[in-house]
Amino acid sequence: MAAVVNGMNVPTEQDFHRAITERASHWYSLCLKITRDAHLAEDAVQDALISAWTKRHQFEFNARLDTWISRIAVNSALQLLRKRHPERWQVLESEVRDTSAGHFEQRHAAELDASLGVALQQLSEFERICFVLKHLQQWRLQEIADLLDTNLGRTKQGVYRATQKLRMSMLHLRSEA
Amino acid sequence: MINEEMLTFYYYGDGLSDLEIADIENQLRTQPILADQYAKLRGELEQMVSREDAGVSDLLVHRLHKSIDRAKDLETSRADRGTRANEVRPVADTVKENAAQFLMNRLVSLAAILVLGLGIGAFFFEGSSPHMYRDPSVNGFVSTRTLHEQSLADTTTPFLRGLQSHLRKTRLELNGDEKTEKPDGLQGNRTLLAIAGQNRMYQKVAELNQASDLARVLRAFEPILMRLAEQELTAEQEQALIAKLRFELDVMLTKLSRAPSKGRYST
Repeated sequence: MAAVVNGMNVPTEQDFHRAITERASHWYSLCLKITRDAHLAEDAVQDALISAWTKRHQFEFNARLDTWISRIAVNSALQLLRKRHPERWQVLESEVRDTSAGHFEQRHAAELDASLGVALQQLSEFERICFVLKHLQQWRLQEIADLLDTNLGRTKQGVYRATQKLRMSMLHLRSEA
Repeated sequence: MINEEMLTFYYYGDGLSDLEIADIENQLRTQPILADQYAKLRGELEQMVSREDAGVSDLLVHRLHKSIDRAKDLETSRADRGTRANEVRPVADTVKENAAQFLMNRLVSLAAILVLGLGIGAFFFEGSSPHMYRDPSVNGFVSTRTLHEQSLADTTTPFLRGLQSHLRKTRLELNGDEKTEKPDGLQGNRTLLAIAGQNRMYQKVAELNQASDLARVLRAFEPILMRLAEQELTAEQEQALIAKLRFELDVMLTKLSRAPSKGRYST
Protein backbone atom coordinates (compact mmCIF):
# COMPACT_ATOMS: atom_id res chain seq x y z
CA MET A 1 0.00 0.00 0.00
CA ALA A 2 1.51 3.27 -1.06
CA ALA A 3 0.03 5.06 1.93
CA VAL A 4 2.51 3.24 4.12
CA VAL A 5 5.38 5.62 4.43
CA ASN A 6 8.77 4.32 3.46
CA GLY A 7 12.08 5.49 4.84
CA MET A 8 13.06 7.02 8.14
CA ASN A 9 12.07 10.62 7.55
CA VAL A 10 8.82 12.36 8.30
CA PRO A 11 6.05 11.86 5.73
CA THR A 12 6.66 13.98 2.68
CA GLU A 13 4.33 16.07 0.60
CA GLN A 14 4.23 13.18 -1.90
CA ASP A 15 3.23 10.74 0.85
CA PHE A 16 0.32 12.98 1.72
CA HIS A 17 -0.76 13.37 -1.90
CA ARG A 18 -0.59 9.62 -2.37
CA ALA A 19 -2.63 9.01 0.76
CA ILE A 20 -5.23 11.52 -0.42
CA THR A 21 -5.53 9.81 -3.79
CA GLU A 22 -5.95 6.39 -2.23
CA ARG A 23 -7.83 7.04 0.99
CA ALA A 24 -9.79 10.28 0.71
CA SER A 25 -12.92 8.30 0.05
CA HIS A 26 -12.44 6.26 3.20
CA TRP A 27 -11.79 9.32 5.39
CA TYR A 28 -14.77 11.10 3.96
CA SER A 29 -16.99 8.10 4.45
CA LEU A 30 -15.88 7.72 8.04
CA CYS A 31 -16.46 11.38 8.81
CA LEU A 32 -19.84 11.18 7.11
CA LYS A 33 -20.86 8.33 9.39
CA ILE A 34 -19.95 10.44 12.37
CA THR A 35 -21.29 13.82 11.33
CA ARG A 36 -24.13 12.74 9.05
CA ASP A 37 -23.51 15.98 7.17
CA ALA A 38 -21.66 16.03 3.87
CA HIS A 39 -20.26 19.54 4.35
CA LEU A 40 -19.09 18.83 7.87
CA ALA A 41 -17.49 15.61 6.70
CA GLU A 42 -15.60 17.44 3.96
CA ASP A 43 -14.42 20.10 6.38
CA ALA A 44 -13.39 17.45 8.87
CA VAL A 45 -11.24 15.65 6.33
CA GLN A 46 -9.59 18.88 5.24
CA ASP A 47 -8.97 19.98 8.83
CA ALA A 48 -7.51 16.57 9.59
CA LEU A 49 -5.14 16.69 6.65
CA ILE A 50 -3.83 20.12 7.54
CA SER A 51 -3.47 19.09 11.15
CA ALA A 52 -1.64 15.91 10.14
CA TRP A 53 0.66 17.89 7.90
CA THR A 54 1.45 20.31 10.73
CA LYS A 55 2.09 17.45 13.17
CA ARG A 56 3.81 15.12 10.72
CA HIS A 57 7.00 15.17 12.81
CA GLN A 58 5.03 13.32 15.50
CA PHE A 59 4.07 10.54 13.11
CA GLU A 60 5.31 7.12 14.21
CA PHE A 61 6.68 5.04 11.41
CA ASN A 62 5.35 1.76 12.64
CA ALA A 63 1.91 3.19 11.92
CA ARG A 64 0.27 3.79 8.59
CA LEU A 65 -0.07 7.35 7.46
CA ASP A 66 -3.62 6.86 6.22
CA THR A 67 -4.68 5.23 9.49
CA TRP A 68 -3.10 8.03 11.44
CA ILE A 69 -4.97 10.58 9.34
CA SER A 70 -8.20 8.58 9.83
CA ARG A 71 -7.89 9.00 13.54
CA ILE A 72 -7.25 12.69 13.26
CA ALA A 73 -10.24 12.92 10.91
CA VAL A 74 -12.52 11.25 13.46
CA ASN A 75 -11.36 13.74 16.03
CA SER A 76 -11.95 16.64 13.66
CA ALA A 77 -15.39 15.32 12.78
CA LEU A 78 -16.39 15.11 16.42
CA GLN A 79 -15.03 18.56 17.15
CA LEU A 80 -16.99 20.04 14.27
CA LEU A 81 -20.09 18.16 15.34
CA ARG A 82 -19.79 19.51 18.86
CA LYS A 83 -19.18 23.01 17.61
CA ARG A 84 -21.79 23.27 14.89
CA HIS A 85 -24.51 21.03 16.24
CA PRO A 86 -24.35 21.29 20.01
CA GLU A 87 -27.99 20.26 20.20
CA ARG A 88 -27.13 16.92 18.61
CA TRP A 89 -24.19 16.57 20.96
CA GLN A 90 -26.54 16.96 23.91
CA VAL A 91 -28.50 14.00 22.61
CA LEU A 92 -25.32 12.01 22.34
CA GLU A 93 -25.03 11.29 26.01
CA SER A 94 -28.71 10.59 26.50
CA GLU A 95 -30.85 7.57 25.97
CA VAL A 96 -33.04 9.44 23.53
CA ARG A 97 -33.14 8.08 20.04
CA ASP A 98 -31.77 10.58 17.53
CA THR A 99 -34.73 11.03 15.17
CA SER A 100 -32.81 13.48 12.98
CA ALA A 101 -30.73 10.60 11.75
CA GLY A 102 -33.44 9.23 9.48
CA HIS A 103 -32.87 11.54 6.54
CA PHE A 104 -29.15 10.95 6.46
CA GLU A 105 -29.38 7.27 6.96
CA GLN A 106 -31.89 6.91 4.19
CA ARG A 107 -29.71 8.86 1.80
CA HIS A 108 -26.51 7.04 2.68
CA ALA A 109 -27.80 3.62 3.51
CA ALA A 110 -26.21 2.36 0.34
CA GLU A 111 -22.77 2.73 1.81
CA LEU A 112 -23.53 0.17 4.49
CA ASP A 113 -25.27 -3.09 4.24
CA ALA A 114 -28.85 -2.08 3.53
CA SER A 115 -30.23 -3.63 6.71
CA LEU A 116 -27.50 -2.14 8.81
CA GLY A 117 -28.07 1.28 7.28
CA VAL A 118 -31.72 1.21 8.22
CA ALA A 119 -31.01 -0.33 11.59
CA LEU A 120 -28.61 2.47 12.47
CA GLN A 121 -31.61 4.77 12.64
CA GLN A 122 -32.55 3.07 15.88
CA LEU A 123 -29.42 4.27 17.63
CA SER A 124 -28.78 7.37 19.61
CA GLU A 125 -25.89 9.58 18.52
CA PHE A 126 -23.68 8.21 21.26
CA GLU A 127 -24.47 4.62 20.44
CA ARG A 128 -23.94 5.18 16.73
CA ILE A 129 -20.53 6.78 17.19
CA CYS A 130 -19.47 4.07 19.64
CA PHE A 131 -20.59 1.43 17.17
CA VAL A 132 -18.93 3.02 14.15
CA LEU A 133 -15.63 3.40 15.95
CA LYS A 134 -15.66 0.02 17.68
CA HIS A 135 -17.28 -2.25 15.16
CA LEU A 136 -16.44 -0.65 11.83
CA GLN A 137 -13.13 0.99 12.73
CA GLN A 138 -11.86 -1.43 15.39
CA TRP A 139 -10.86 1.26 17.83
CA ARG A 140 -10.04 0.24 21.38
CA LEU A 141 -12.82 1.02 23.88
CA GLN A 142 -10.49 3.21 25.90
CA GLU A 143 -9.62 5.25 22.82
CA ILE A 144 -13.31 5.81 22.13
CA ALA A 145 -13.89 6.79 25.73
CA ASP A 146 -11.03 9.27 25.57
CA LEU A 147 -12.28 10.73 22.33
CA LEU A 148 -15.81 11.14 23.65
CA ASP A 149 -14.65 12.48 27.02
CA THR A 150 -16.41 9.71 28.88
CA ASN A 151 -15.40 6.61 30.80
CA LEU A 152 -14.83 3.03 29.78
CA GLY A 153 -18.05 1.80 31.40
CA ARG A 154 -20.26 4.20 29.51
CA THR A 155 -18.48 3.41 26.29
CA LYS A 156 -18.98 -0.32 26.76
CA GLN A 157 -22.60 0.35 27.50
CA GLY A 158 -22.91 2.40 24.31
CA VAL A 159 -21.30 -0.27 22.18
CA TYR A 160 -23.34 -3.07 23.72
CA ARG A 161 -26.66 -1.24 23.47
CA ALA A 162 -25.85 -0.42 19.85
CA THR A 163 -25.09 -4.02 18.95
CA GLN A 164 -28.23 -5.27 20.70
CA LYS A 165 -30.46 -2.77 18.95
CA LEU A 166 -28.85 -3.45 15.61
CA ARG A 167 -29.16 -7.19 15.96
CA MET A 168 -32.85 -6.92 16.76
CA SER A 169 -33.51 -4.41 14.00
CA MET A 170 -31.66 -6.38 11.40
CA LEU A 171 -33.40 -9.60 12.32
CA HIS A 172 -36.74 -7.84 12.08
CA LEU A 173 -35.88 -6.22 8.75
CA ARG A 174 -34.66 -9.46 7.26
CA SER A 175 -37.66 -11.40 8.44
CA GLU A 176 -39.88 -8.79 6.73
CA ALA A 177 -37.87 -9.13 3.53
CA MET B 1 -22.26 -16.30 34.97
CA ILE B 2 -21.48 -15.43 31.36
CA ASN B 3 -23.95 -13.01 29.81
CA GLU B 4 -24.39 -11.69 26.29
CA GLU B 5 -22.57 -8.47 27.04
CA MET B 6 -19.47 -10.39 28.05
CA LEU B 7 -19.75 -12.51 24.91
CA THR B 8 -20.00 -9.35 22.84
CA PHE B 9 -16.78 -7.95 24.26
CA TYR B 10 -15.18 -11.37 24.01
CA TYR B 11 -15.96 -11.17 20.29
CA TYR B 12 -14.34 -7.72 20.09
CA GLY B 13 -11.36 -8.87 22.15
CA ASP B 14 -11.62 -5.72 24.22
CA GLY B 15 -13.05 -4.55 27.51
CA LEU B 16 -12.56 -7.78 29.49
CA SER B 17 -9.94 -8.76 32.04
CA ASP B 18 -7.65 -11.74 31.46
CA LEU B 19 -9.54 -13.59 34.14
CA GLU B 20 -12.89 -12.98 32.44
CA ILE B 21 -11.48 -14.09 29.09
CA ALA B 22 -10.13 -17.31 30.60
CA ASP B 23 -13.48 -17.96 32.27
CA ILE B 24 -15.41 -17.44 29.01
CA GLU B 25 -13.09 -19.72 27.06
CA ASN B 26 -13.41 -22.39 29.67
CA GLN B 27 -17.22 -22.26 29.68
CA LEU B 28 -17.44 -22.16 25.87
CA ARG B 29 -15.52 -25.41 25.81
CA THR B 30 -17.70 -27.09 28.42
CA GLN B 31 -21.17 -25.66 27.75
CA PRO B 32 -22.62 -26.40 24.30
CA ILE B 33 -25.61 -24.09 24.82
CA LEU B 34 -23.35 -21.17 25.54
CA ALA B 35 -21.17 -22.08 22.57
CA ASP B 36 -24.27 -22.03 20.31
CA GLN B 37 -25.32 -18.71 21.74
CA TYR B 38 -21.88 -17.29 21.01
CA ALA B 39 -21.84 -18.69 17.48
CA LYS B 40 -25.21 -17.03 16.78
CA LEU B 41 -24.02 -13.72 18.23
CA ARG B 42 -20.82 -13.86 16.25
CA GLY B 43 -22.68 -14.59 13.01
CA GLU B 44 -24.97 -11.60 13.51
CA LEU B 45 -22.14 -9.25 14.37
CA GLU B 46 -20.19 -10.37 11.33
CA GLN B 47 -23.11 -9.44 9.12
CA MET B 48 -22.87 -5.85 10.27
CA VAL B 49 -20.44 -4.75 7.64
CA SER B 50 -19.80 -1.65 5.64
CA ARG B 51 -19.86 -2.69 2.02
CA GLU B 52 -18.04 0.25 0.54
CA ASP B 53 -16.96 3.80 1.17
CA ALA B 54 -19.17 6.69 0.23
CA GLY B 55 -18.15 8.24 -3.05
CA VAL B 56 -15.97 11.29 -2.75
CA SER B 57 -16.22 14.11 -5.28
CA ASP B 58 -13.30 15.06 -7.50
CA LEU B 59 -13.76 18.57 -6.21
CA LEU B 60 -13.09 17.48 -2.65
CA VAL B 61 -10.04 15.45 -3.67
CA HIS B 62 -8.72 18.48 -5.54
CA ARG B 63 -9.42 20.66 -2.50
CA LEU B 64 -7.50 18.26 -0.27
CA HIS B 65 -4.48 18.20 -2.56
CA LYS B 66 -4.53 21.98 -2.73
CA SER B 67 -4.72 22.30 1.05
CA ILE B 68 -1.51 20.29 1.39
CA ASP B 69 0.16 22.37 -1.32
CA ARG B 70 -0.86 25.56 0.45
CA ALA B 71 0.33 24.28 3.83
CA LYS B 72 3.67 23.37 2.28
CA ASP B 73 3.99 26.77 0.58
CA LEU B 74 3.19 28.53 3.83
CA GLU B 75 5.90 26.60 5.63
CA THR B 76 8.42 27.31 2.92
CA SER B 77 7.60 30.98 2.97
CA ARG B 78 7.96 31.11 6.76
CA ALA B 79 11.26 29.28 6.59
CA ASP B 80 12.54 31.71 3.96
CA ARG B 81 11.52 34.62 6.11
CA GLY B 82 13.36 33.14 9.07
CA THR B 83 16.47 32.67 6.96
CA ARG B 84 16.38 36.25 5.74
CA ALA B 85 15.99 37.56 9.29
CA ASN B 86 19.00 35.54 10.40
CA GLU B 87 21.07 36.94 7.56
CA VAL B 88 20.24 40.47 8.65
CA ARG B 89 21.00 39.82 12.30
CA PRO B 90 22.76 36.55 13.04
CA VAL B 91 23.24 37.42 16.73
CA ALA B 92 19.49 37.51 17.37
CA ASP B 93 19.40 34.31 19.36
CA THR B 94 16.61 34.80 21.84
CA VAL B 95 12.89 34.71 21.31
CA LYS B 96 12.47 38.20 22.62
CA GLU B 97 15.10 39.59 20.31
CA ASN B 98 13.51 37.84 17.36
CA ALA B 99 10.12 39.27 18.23
CA ALA B 100 11.64 42.74 18.45
CA GLN B 101 13.34 42.18 15.12
CA PHE B 102 10.05 41.14 13.56
CA LEU B 103 8.43 44.27 14.94
CA MET B 104 11.13 46.61 13.73
CA ASN B 105 11.09 45.15 10.26
CA ARG B 106 7.57 46.40 9.90
CA LEU B 107 8.06 49.89 11.18
CA VAL B 108 8.59 51.40 7.78
CA SER B 109 5.33 49.85 6.65
CA LEU B 110 3.55 51.24 9.67
CA ALA B 111 5.04 54.64 9.14
CA ALA B 112 3.79 54.52 5.57
CA ILE B 113 0.30 53.79 6.82
CA LEU B 114 0.32 56.70 9.17
CA VAL B 115 1.77 59.08 6.64
CA LEU B 116 -1.03 57.92 4.45
CA GLY B 117 -3.46 58.72 7.24
CA LEU B 118 -2.08 62.23 7.35
CA GLY B 119 -2.48 62.51 3.62
CA ILE B 120 -6.05 61.38 3.79
CA GLY B 121 -6.68 63.81 6.60
CA ALA B 122 -5.37 66.67 4.48
CA PHE B 123 -7.38 65.49 1.53
CA PHE B 124 -10.70 65.16 3.24
CA PHE B 125 -10.76 68.57 4.92
CA GLU B 126 -10.55 70.85 1.96
CA GLY B 127 -13.96 72.23 2.82
CA SER B 128 -12.93 74.03 6.00
CA SER B 129 -9.97 76.37 5.90
CA PRO B 130 -7.06 76.70 3.52
CA HIS B 131 -4.42 74.13 4.27
CA MET B 132 -1.72 72.05 2.69
CA TYR B 133 -2.41 68.80 0.92
CA ARG B 134 -0.23 65.93 -0.07
CA ASP B 135 0.44 65.65 -3.76
CA PRO B 136 1.73 62.20 -4.68
CA SER B 137 3.12 63.48 -7.91
CA VAL B 138 5.57 65.66 -5.98
CA ASN B 139 8.56 63.91 -4.55
CA GLY B 140 8.51 64.38 -0.79
CA PHE B 141 5.56 66.14 0.65
CA VAL B 142 4.64 69.71 0.50
CA SER B 143 2.61 71.73 -1.83
CA THR B 144 1.61 75.05 -0.33
CA ARG B 145 -1.23 75.53 -2.74
CA THR B 146 -4.62 75.21 -1.15
CA LEU B 147 -7.44 73.16 -2.52
CA HIS B 148 -9.29 76.40 -3.04
CA GLU B 149 -6.57 77.52 -5.39
CA GLN B 150 -6.65 74.39 -7.46
CA SER B 151 -9.91 72.93 -8.63
CA LEU B 152 -10.93 69.51 -7.46
CA ALA B 153 -11.37 68.53 -11.05
CA ASP B 154 -7.63 68.91 -11.46
CA THR B 155 -6.53 67.20 -8.29
CA THR B 156 -9.02 64.70 -6.90
CA THR B 157 -8.80 61.89 -9.41
CA PRO B 158 -5.01 61.64 -9.65
CA PHE B 159 -4.80 62.16 -5.92
CA LEU B 160 -7.21 59.32 -5.25
CA ARG B 161 -5.36 57.11 -7.64
CA GLY B 162 -2.10 57.93 -5.92
CA LEU B 163 -3.58 57.19 -2.52
CA GLN B 164 -5.09 53.94 -3.63
CA SER B 165 -1.84 52.87 -5.18
CA HIS B 166 0.00 53.76 -2.01
CA LEU B 167 -2.52 51.88 0.14
CA ARG B 168 -2.24 48.79 -1.96
CA LYS B 169 1.52 48.93 -1.87
CA THR B 170 1.45 49.32 1.89
CA ARG B 171 -0.90 46.42 2.19
CA LEU B 172 1.38 44.27 0.09
CA GLU B 173 4.26 45.18 2.36
CA LEU B 174 2.20 44.13 5.35
CA ASN B 175 1.67 40.77 3.71
CA GLY B 176 5.21 39.83 4.52
CA ASP B 177 7.80 41.71 2.51
CA GLU B 178 10.59 42.30 4.95
CA LYS B 179 13.07 43.90 2.68
CA THR B 180 12.49 47.27 4.30
CA GLU B 181 15.35 48.90 6.07
CA LYS B 182 15.39 48.15 9.77
CA PRO B 183 15.66 51.03 12.24
CA ASP B 184 17.14 50.12 15.60
CA GLY B 185 14.76 49.22 18.40
CA LEU B 186 14.78 52.42 20.45
CA GLN B 187 14.56 54.67 17.44
CA GLY B 188 11.78 52.54 16.03
CA ASN B 189 9.87 52.78 19.27
CA ARG B 190 10.20 56.55 19.34
CA THR B 191 9.08 56.73 15.73
CA LEU B 192 5.98 54.72 16.54
CA LEU B 193 5.09 56.94 19.47
CA ALA B 194 5.64 60.08 17.39
CA ILE B 195 3.46 58.68 14.65
CA ALA B 196 0.77 57.83 17.17
CA GLY B 197 0.89 61.47 18.41
CA GLN B 198 0.50 62.81 14.89
CA ASN B 199 -2.28 60.37 14.24
CA ARG B 200 -4.13 61.63 17.31
CA MET B 201 -3.78 65.20 16.12
CA TYR B 202 -5.27 64.43 12.73
CA GLN B 203 -7.99 62.40 14.31
CA LYS B 204 -9.03 65.44 16.33
CA VAL B 205 -8.95 67.59 13.22
CA ALA B 206 -11.17 65.06 11.51
CA GLU B 207 -13.63 65.19 14.39
CA LEU B 208 -13.66 68.98 14.32
CA ASN B 209 -14.43 68.82 10.63
CA GLN B 210 -17.20 66.29 11.22
CA ALA B 211 -15.43 63.70 9.05
CA SER B 212 -16.56 60.96 11.39
CA ASP B 213 -15.62 58.03 9.15
CA LEU B 214 -12.08 59.22 8.74
CA ALA B 215 -11.84 59.97 12.45
CA ARG B 216 -13.00 56.46 13.20
CA VAL B 217 -10.35 54.93 10.97
CA LEU B 218 -7.61 57.09 12.43
CA ARG B 219 -8.85 56.32 15.93
CA ALA B 220 -8.63 52.64 15.17
CA PHE B 221 -4.95 53.04 14.30
CA GLU B 222 -3.91 54.45 17.64
CA PRO B 223 -4.33 51.45 19.97
CA ILE B 224 -2.67 49.27 17.38
CA LEU B 225 0.28 51.60 17.13
CA MET B 226 0.61 51.89 20.89
CA ARG B 227 0.45 48.16 21.22
CA LEU B 228 3.04 47.65 18.52
CA ALA B 229 5.30 50.08 20.32
CA GLU B 230 5.49 47.58 23.15
CA GLN B 231 8.53 45.36 22.88
CA GLU B 232 7.01 42.38 24.69
CA LEU B 233 4.83 41.16 21.86
CA THR B 234 4.71 37.57 20.78
CA ALA B 235 4.75 36.78 17.07
CA GLU B 236 1.06 35.79 17.29
CA GLN B 237 0.10 39.06 18.94
CA GLU B 238 1.99 41.01 16.39
CA GLN B 239 0.40 39.12 13.54
CA ALA B 240 -3.02 39.87 14.97
CA LEU B 241 -2.18 43.57 15.09
CA ILE B 242 -0.90 43.52 11.56
CA ALA B 243 -4.12 41.80 10.50
CA LYS B 244 -6.07 44.55 12.19
CA LEU B 245 -4.07 47.16 10.31
CA ARG B 246 -4.78 45.34 7.07
CA PHE B 247 -8.47 45.51 7.87
CA GLU B 248 -8.32 49.23 8.45
CA LEU B 249 -6.41 49.66 5.23
CA ASP B 250 -9.10 47.76 3.41
CA VAL B 251 -11.73 50.02 4.94
CA MET B 252 -9.85 53.04 3.73
CA LEU B 253 -9.36 51.54 0.28
CA THR B 254 -13.08 50.92 0.02
CA LYS B 255 -13.78 54.41 1.17
CA LEU B 256 -11.45 55.90 -1.38
CA SER B 257 -12.88 53.81 -4.16
CA ARG B 258 -16.32 55.23 -3.37
CA ALA B 259 -15.23 58.81 -2.71
CA PRO B 260 -15.32 60.10 -6.32
CA SER B 261 -19.02 59.36 -6.62
CA LYS B 262 -19.89 61.42 -3.56
CA GLY B 263 -20.83 65.06 -3.66
CA ARG B 264 -17.91 67.23 -2.86
CA TYR B 265 -15.26 64.70 -3.81
CA SER B 266 -16.55 64.06 -7.28
CA THR B 267 -14.70 65.47 -10.24
